[in-house]
Amino acid sequence: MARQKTARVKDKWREKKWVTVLLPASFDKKPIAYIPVTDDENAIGRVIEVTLHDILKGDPSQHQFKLYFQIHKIDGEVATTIFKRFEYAKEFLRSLVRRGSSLISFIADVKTKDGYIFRIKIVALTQKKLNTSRKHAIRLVAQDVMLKTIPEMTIDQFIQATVFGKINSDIMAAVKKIVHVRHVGIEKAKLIRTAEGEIALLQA
Amino acid sequence: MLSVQEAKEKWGIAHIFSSFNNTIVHITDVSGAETVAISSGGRHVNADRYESSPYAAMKSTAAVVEAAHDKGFTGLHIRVRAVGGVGSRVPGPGAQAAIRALARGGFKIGRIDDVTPIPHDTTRKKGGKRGRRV
Repeated sequence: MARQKTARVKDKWREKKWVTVLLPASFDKKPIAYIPVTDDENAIGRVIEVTLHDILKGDPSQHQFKLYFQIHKIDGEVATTIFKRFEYAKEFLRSLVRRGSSLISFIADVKTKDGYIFRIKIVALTQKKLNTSRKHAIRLVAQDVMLKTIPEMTIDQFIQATVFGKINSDIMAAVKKIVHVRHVGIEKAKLIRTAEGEIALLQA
Repeated sequence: MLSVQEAKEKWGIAHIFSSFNNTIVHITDVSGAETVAISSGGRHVNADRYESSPYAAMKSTAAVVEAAHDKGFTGLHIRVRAVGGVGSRVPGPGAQAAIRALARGGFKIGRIDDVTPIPHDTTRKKGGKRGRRV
């Protein structure tokens, strides 16, 4: 019985075809992974985690940003993906937190120009402990900046701005007027709905 | 950017779940959806209390390493996990041994992550108010 089982497993593995996974157009469709697939239908929706360093091969600090891409179409030997999630590595976030300083987080859903909805979590870390009124002010400013800039961006521009810290520096500049902060950034940005999903939802 | 040659390299992920009662080594592809090989401490030792030992971890890792080599994998990312949640957040005694055995297995090692689930808020840890009384 046991022997029969192992024989079947090996056969299954041989049936699989290997598919090259490409990044979305905002990253020039570079190949990023090579995965085995039995059935094209089943493979749709799989998520691949990479660090920014894996894509850009730049300086080592890029290891602290994680990107998630979801397979949405398989065409022969090639799989295309969409941008699913951006996140700080757990260790990086832990390294930012320090005693005697405040961590202010703020979460908002923002829609890009072409209808993609993202849930964005902003995190700000200060030099000293802040009182609540200043925290509120920082949140308001962050919201203001996000609602002003992001609806003007297309999905590609949004991804670039998130990953390369343009949104961060915009918020940083605005927050500076209230209090000097140690770090401001997008801790997490995840895709809630794609443009197609939004249209389908509105029609329903 | 990866060259075409590099992208054709078969990378996988080694999920190491290491508790104080067992060590499970599970190799998948990069998406985590396709299993390449899986083995646990209990397959290699007889006594229950040795399931979490470094020796059992080494043995089970050796088993998955062989299977992954057969399927043509050349590199591995490692994800170490302790019990987490209300349980222990420190990986058990098998984690070290398993990582070491993977590195010695001739794979390229990518990043090593700790993926212990850490709750933002929890239910109460078992044992009651006065703790476990032995």
